[in-house]
Amino acid sequence: MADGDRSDEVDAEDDDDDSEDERLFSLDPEADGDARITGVVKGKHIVTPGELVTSDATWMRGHGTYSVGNSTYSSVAGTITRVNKLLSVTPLRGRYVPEVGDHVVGRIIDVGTRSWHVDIGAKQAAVLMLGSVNLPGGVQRRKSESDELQMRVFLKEGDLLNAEVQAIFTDGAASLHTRSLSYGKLRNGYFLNIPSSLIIRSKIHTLELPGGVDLVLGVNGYLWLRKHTQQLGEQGVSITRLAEEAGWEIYSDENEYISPSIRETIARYANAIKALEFGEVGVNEPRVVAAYEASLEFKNVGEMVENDAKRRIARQVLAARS
Amino acid sequence: MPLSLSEESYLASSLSLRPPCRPDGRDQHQFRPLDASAGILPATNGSARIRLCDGGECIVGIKAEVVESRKEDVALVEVQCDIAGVQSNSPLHTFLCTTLETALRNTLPASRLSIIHRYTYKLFIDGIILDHVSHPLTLFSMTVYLALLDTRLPKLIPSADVASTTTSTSSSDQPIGLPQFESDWQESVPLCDKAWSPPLVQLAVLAGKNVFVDPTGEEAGVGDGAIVVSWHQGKVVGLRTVNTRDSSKQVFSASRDVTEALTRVVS
Amino acid sequence: MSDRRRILVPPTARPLTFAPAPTESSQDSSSSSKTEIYLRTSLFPDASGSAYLEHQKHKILVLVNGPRPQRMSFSSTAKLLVDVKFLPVSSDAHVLGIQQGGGFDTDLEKSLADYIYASLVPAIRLERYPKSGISVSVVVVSGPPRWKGLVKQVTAACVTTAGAALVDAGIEVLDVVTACAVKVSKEGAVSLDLDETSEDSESVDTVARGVISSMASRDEITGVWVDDDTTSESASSRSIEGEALVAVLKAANSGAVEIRKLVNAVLARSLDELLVEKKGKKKITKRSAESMDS
Repeated sequence: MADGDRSDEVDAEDDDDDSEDERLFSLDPEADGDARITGVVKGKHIVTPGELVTSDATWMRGHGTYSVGNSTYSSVAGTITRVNKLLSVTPLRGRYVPEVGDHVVGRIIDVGTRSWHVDIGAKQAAVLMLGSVNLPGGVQRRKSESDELQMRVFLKEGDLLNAEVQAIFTDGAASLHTRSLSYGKLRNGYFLNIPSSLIIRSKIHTLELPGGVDLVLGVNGYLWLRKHTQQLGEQGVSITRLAEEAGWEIYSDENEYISPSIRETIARYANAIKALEFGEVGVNEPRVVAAYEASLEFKNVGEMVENDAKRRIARQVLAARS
Repeated sequence: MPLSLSEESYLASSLSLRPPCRPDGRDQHQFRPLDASAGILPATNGSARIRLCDGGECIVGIKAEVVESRKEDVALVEVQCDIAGVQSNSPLHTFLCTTLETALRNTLPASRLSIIHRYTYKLFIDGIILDHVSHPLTLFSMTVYLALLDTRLPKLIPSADVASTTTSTSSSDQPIGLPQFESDWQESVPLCDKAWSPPLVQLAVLAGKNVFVDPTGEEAGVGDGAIVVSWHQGKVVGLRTVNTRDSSKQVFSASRDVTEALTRVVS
Repeated sequence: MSDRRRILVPPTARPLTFAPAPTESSQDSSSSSKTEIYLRTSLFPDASGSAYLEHQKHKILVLVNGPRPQRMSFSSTAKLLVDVKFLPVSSDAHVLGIQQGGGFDTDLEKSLADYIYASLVPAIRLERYPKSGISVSVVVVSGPPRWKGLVKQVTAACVTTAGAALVDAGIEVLDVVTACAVKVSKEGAVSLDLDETSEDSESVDTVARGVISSMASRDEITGVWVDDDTTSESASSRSIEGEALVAVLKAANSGAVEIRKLVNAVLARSLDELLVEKKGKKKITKRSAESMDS
């Protein structure tokens, strides 16, 4: 389970902590007494809103906490995480919180002047500046006024794209960029979304899966399943020639030919991921592959919409891990 | 939220393949699993709740009221619904309510609701759609169907009424006594029996030459059009085309329509 | 300083003139029946397009406005809006509706609008008019004295009139949409529902009624609405599927084709009139030019 994973990480951190920190996350059932006095949160790392996290004033208070006097309280239900002296509580559920470097999938909701607004499932719409995208005719080309006038030709309302979070504004909104050939407009496939809390962060979020299907696993829980195609960067084009290669086709809306068997495989993957969601199993590459393999026992993809089938797949994936 | 052009063309071409490939791999005539329960509201004559796996949920309560039957065509069934997140009195409300009301009025014989001379039941069907991702018509109709199956009407005490009605026929302006009912709910009689079962209305989406039942929101969004089909006791009693999106290319020849009618689904 | 004590007329106002008594532009739509249908287009110069239809006691007026710009979120196709209004004098439906707390009639207006929308949308080339809106207002000036059983007939009339009005507005369409109503008798015989009046509709012979909208020259059906109309308990309802449905569709489609002929004739004629008018104007201007010369 995703949440389990997170608390595991916290445990692991705790093991090599010094004694001073033990006080905060004491697992000792003997360390009883009034938490408000001892500053000890006992036996668990899950806190509910209003619960005392620590009464030690030396800690810095991060997201999901508030303070009264010297004491720190939780303002959300979730797990305690800390980085050095920074304490924060990560909510178990809730909308996606963007972080710099996240690979996300988003949908254009609005075309503005010199920027697009992108829905990435966060509390605010992300911004994609005209200057942060590759334009046809050269990666490093300057953006001209004619580009400003034809922004809807590149990306318009409803279009899906994958991008990286470049920066976070002070109000929490994300700024995206697609300045790499692995990012940009998405086509040849099918969109689905799952809660972002189920996505396990890893180094690579564009997965090549068995069956000739690629999965763009957005950290924000938006996923794109598509037919495997050679990406521009993979075709052995030298970096100097990339400029000429990045033509208008990167903003094309036309799908390539997709065979019925690929379509069925995409449907199977979509159902396998929905089964993981149903079982609240965290999603990463090995698990998606495991779920796909577990799903092969259902000859007909349609059988996988039944709850029993979903449960079975989720169980098999968890069993395969241990 | 609109779909992107490539998404739309992917879905549209998947759906119009022969055999089609639905995004969730379902068969053309396969429903999604649902969770249904009846008799959940004790203060009503009949009630039901249905939850779909995509999060759609609907609760329906039915109340029967004794009214005086008049000579004019008094509507004996009234359907109202409330959709969370949609302004009341929207076209969707009217569509849901009138579709079901017409289906019920056309199939429910007045004798089923009449109590004694002059008095009759009037059914008030109230639904609330708590959430819907796909088109709520199928969900609403199924819940109403289940609630009507669950509906029980109090048992009439026959004793004095028969006498009073027979005697008072001579002097018609004398007020006839109100009908008396059994106070024991155990004695109540169900509205539906073998002779009459409620109608069921389904929305089916057309794409190319294929027809899909229980469409998801995205399927309805890319389909060429949709048909509302009413069933009553194994027969098609109503057929109507509707649009599920702004620019539908909904045209079909007669032969294609027949295939649609043959998609008889008994859920 | 303008004269404030008087309410001035709009600058475009013209003295009231009465149109000459309407002449039957075309009739005899379905070969055998003696139904008369009167249809005329371009009645209202202020609207982009308009059409008026009389059939029995139904008097239907359709005004089309647009395409005109829409100040809303961007859309690459035009938005079609259809609304239906029954004038208070049009029928008993309003009286009934007021008695029942506005239940029946307003819903009927909306479901009619729904059906007309679904019938027209496939025919209009909406993609030719981005960022704009086209509104179609259907006004039922006079309906049947009693609506029961005649809803489909009125619907068919509304769709046909709206189709003609769209053409009159000069909006690009794939084909003219026409509609025809049919009824199915107890024995399963399908006949066109053109000459039925309120009095006839009381009979129990009819078990189902329907209306089909079609694009006749493309041989495509844009809308179907069939309902089982068995109100009496004794008559067992028939299932509308398979052969029965094909029969209904075929009959109604052929009816729609007949009506299409009428619409075509009317449209051609109004075009003729327009050309004559234009020619006349030209002549006048020519003559005035000549007179100036001399």
